[in-house]
Amino acid sequence: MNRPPDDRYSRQVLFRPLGAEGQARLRAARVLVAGCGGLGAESASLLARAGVGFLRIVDRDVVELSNLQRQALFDEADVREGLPKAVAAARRLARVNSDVAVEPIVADIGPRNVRGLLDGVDLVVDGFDSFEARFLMNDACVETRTPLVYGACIASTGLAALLVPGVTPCLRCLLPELPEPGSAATCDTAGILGPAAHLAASMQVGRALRYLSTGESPPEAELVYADVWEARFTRMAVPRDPACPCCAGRQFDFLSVETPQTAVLCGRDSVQVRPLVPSKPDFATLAERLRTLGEVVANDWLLRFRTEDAELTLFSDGRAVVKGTNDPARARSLVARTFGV
Amino acid sequence: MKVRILFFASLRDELGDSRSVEAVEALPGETTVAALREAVAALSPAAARLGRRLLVAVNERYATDGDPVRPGDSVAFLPPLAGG
Ligand SMILES: [Zn+2]
Repeated sequence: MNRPPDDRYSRQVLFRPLGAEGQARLRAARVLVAGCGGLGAESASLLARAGVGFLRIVDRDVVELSNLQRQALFDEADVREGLPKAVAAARRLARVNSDVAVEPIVADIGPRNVRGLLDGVDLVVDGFDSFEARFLMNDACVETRTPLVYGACIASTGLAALLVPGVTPCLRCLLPELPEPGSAATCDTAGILGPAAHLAASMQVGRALRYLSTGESPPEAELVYADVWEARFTRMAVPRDPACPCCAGRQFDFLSVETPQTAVLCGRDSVQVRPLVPSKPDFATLAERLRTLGEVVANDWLLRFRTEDAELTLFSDGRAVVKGTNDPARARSLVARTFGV
Repeated sequence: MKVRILFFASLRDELGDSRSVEAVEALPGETTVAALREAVAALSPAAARLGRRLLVAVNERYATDGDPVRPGDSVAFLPPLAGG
């Protein structure tokens, strides 16, 4: 486009609290979108369109048909191609705003890689679908003093809050009693309305744009909580907890937890199996060998193998997702048998 | 004493938008967040399951178990959300 760059952002620059100075700050900003589902896909789209200069988009999953009801960044072609969400998002955003550098990373965020993913990032937008992942990111953000825009949604409800280490409370100030693993309903078990995800993401990006363009944050977190079905909103000011083990005690429990080798992906009839030693599989050789045994789809990022009773997807970071079982032992054995890892 | 409480998400499914809940007085004309939690847990399996993980806002401020609640205060019970 040979139009002056100002044209693209003119409507947003007209918004006085942001202005030309704020726009320049957005252009220099670097944001990590952690998880690219209902929240993350919408956040990534809004951030790229707003002209945030760099987005690192991390997600472990592949685009599925059941995502299209709410994840406006993806389409049926992505499902057919079996594209990882991070890659599909980067492709789409390159067409939306070529000024923005997007770095897609197909990976599961865990204690081993989280610090590296935060490297050179000014702010994190939460697009996670579990408390475990959120508490891990909260630890990493407090440790590295990186602001985190917390967001979550379920059914018709969504929430958002900006958490700035050293200024506002952190996630553990807000939720000192940790939810038991697997105790909370997820979008895969309780369902999710598109507007609830989009509303939460919009509130998150609203906080992110304000913080990135002005550098200001109130000392208390303002948690916004909304129901799009009942059309009800409430908010809650959250102070810091002086006894918080994380942001006051600087004790980062979740960064030191060993991630288990297998994880049941609740409500999806799937188990994820992590490699003991991460390494990049040789997709071409594997595809050749497996073609005689079942249906194989392979691209640069994954290899999918389908038999009568299970579907196995092997990712380039060595993770495998087995669909068609909730039994970790069976999943491990299928992965070992099929991929020899 | 009776306190009106607003419910959201899974609690709303069980208890409706809002309800007047009877809670034990800590002082004359004053109860606590802990007493309200207990009263709501007796009415709602979801609240009982969430226990102290349930977020409580009193007059749009984060409240903990010892905080006082008086009639006329605006009280909301907000389940933490896990999805994304
Ligand atoms: Zn804290």
